[in-house]
Amino acid sequence: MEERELAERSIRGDAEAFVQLMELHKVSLYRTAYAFLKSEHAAVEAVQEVTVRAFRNIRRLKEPSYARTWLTRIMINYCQDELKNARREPVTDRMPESIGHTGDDFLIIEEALHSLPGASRRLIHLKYFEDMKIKEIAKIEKIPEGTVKSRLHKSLRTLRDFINGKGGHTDD
Amino acid sequence: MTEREEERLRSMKEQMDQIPIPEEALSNAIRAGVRQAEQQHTRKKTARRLVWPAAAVAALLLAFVMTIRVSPAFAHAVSSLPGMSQIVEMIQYDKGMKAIIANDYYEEIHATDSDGTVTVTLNGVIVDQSGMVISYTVDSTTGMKNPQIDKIELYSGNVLLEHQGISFNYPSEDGKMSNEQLIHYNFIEPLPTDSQEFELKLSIRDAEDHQFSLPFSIKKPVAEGKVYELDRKVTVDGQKLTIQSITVHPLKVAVKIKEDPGNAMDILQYEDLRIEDGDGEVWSRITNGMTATQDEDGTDLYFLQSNYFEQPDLMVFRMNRMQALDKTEKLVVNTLTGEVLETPSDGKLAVTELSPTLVETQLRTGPEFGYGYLGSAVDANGTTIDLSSGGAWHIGEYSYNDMRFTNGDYVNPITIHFFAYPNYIEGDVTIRLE
Repeated sequence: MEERELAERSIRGDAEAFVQLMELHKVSLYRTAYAFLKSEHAAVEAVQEVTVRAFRNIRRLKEPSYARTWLTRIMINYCQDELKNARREPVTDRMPESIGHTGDDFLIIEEALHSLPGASRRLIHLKYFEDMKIKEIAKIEKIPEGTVKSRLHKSLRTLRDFINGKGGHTDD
Repeated sequence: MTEREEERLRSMKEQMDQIPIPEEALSNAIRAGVRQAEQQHTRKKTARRLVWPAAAVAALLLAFVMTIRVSPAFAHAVSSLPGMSQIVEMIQYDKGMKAIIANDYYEEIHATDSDGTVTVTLNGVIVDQSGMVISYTVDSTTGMKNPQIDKIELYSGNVLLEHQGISFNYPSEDGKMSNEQLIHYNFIEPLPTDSQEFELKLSIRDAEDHQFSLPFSIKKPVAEGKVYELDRKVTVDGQKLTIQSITVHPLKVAVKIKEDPGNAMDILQYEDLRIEDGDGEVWSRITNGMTATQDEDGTDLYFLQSNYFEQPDLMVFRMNRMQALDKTEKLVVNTLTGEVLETPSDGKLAVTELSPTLVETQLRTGPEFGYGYLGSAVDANGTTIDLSSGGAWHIGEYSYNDMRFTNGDYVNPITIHFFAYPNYIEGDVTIRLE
């Protein structure tokens, strides 16, 4: 069964079709979760929680062909809520598991991403990690394409300023 | 300017793409998520549920009931019998049930089936031509967490007994090891009086599926129902009705009523349908479990508490007050778009949840109403939609009723008919039974 049909059947309440739909997108959803939460355990938990939320609200998925973007949006919302909650907990709880084997560059950009406001981080994520087109991002975020472009640009500048401010490189 | 940041982001993505994917853990998480979503839905309320077969168009449960006084000595004597705790509760709402116990019509049976984790034991049954009440106990070595009964099938010989409704409680979900419950199974066709060999097939789903098969036999003969053919035409507030027949069984008295198709109103509930004897004793409607149903030809079947064992000399059938609704009043929704297209004009009804497999509504009824009020659902092509179950509950001024469809394979918009509604007509119908 192709994705569209799976999504249509899911909307009609078919649990088995919904499981298959989730199977189709689980890797990309997991990557998204991992990008935000930095822990295998937390990311798997996120996939489960997103499954619950998506299945309960499946009729809100008006356009079956947008299943993936819809699920991604739910996932990002979940992750951002989780991070917000986590901020009230001791910082050590959020130490990335991957700290040992990633380079400095990775850590710096990571930190920079964390410094971005929620909406900006989402745009960056959708554009560079989910490889979504500006048009798709506009649809999912419900803002005009031009706004997506200008906000992305602004976010990249913020990232650069953050990195530079951290004593990184100066390009110009 | 910003290219360097883009580059950093791309290389970060490349690294992200290298992370190992815990495929199996994710599949498990998805399954668990779907289960969790389904459970959150069913756990919200613990109303008694009815299984609605396609043939029986409607069934109803009453949450608020008159209690019958049972002497403590009687209750104590009865509850000491195996499997009787639920029945003792039942006789408080049903005089017919009390008479069944007093007349020793309840039959103890012994049948047990186990799959190692869960054991089902049948304690006893009450069988007549109209149905069977089965008392059973579920024992679990681990305690049940969220037990659901998926299948209840009753066979006589090797033939599945067609039912027009099964009423049961879920085994309690508090992790108890042992659970005593009742099943009310209502037959479509009268059971032959010489039936002796039966088999109950039951499947209970908790963390996993548990299948049980319980053959049993009864020794007491099945009591023959007494039929009063009446065919009497009456008029109440301009609405024409035919009281076709009244059949007296031990478990219930079934009253068959047909409404004239030309009536302006649909009569929903005959609230005070009753049988009186010469001394003013009254047998009113059954108020717990399945209390009414409808044949495919639109004939309504109402269940009264039974006076089978009393056999009074004089029996008068009476009714004065009924719930009725103009035929133009209906509930129309589109479950795909979530739109509510039509509701009754008095504004008492609200749709609280809408999805392709669930319609949940709220009705301002006042605190004393106590009926499940949704009837059947019909799709845009006029096809009746299969229901998996329906539940009714009550909070303060409002009654609530939901209906669950087995799947979303029907054509929107759908029309939902009412089974009860707080709008009344009155009259006086008195028929002597002889």
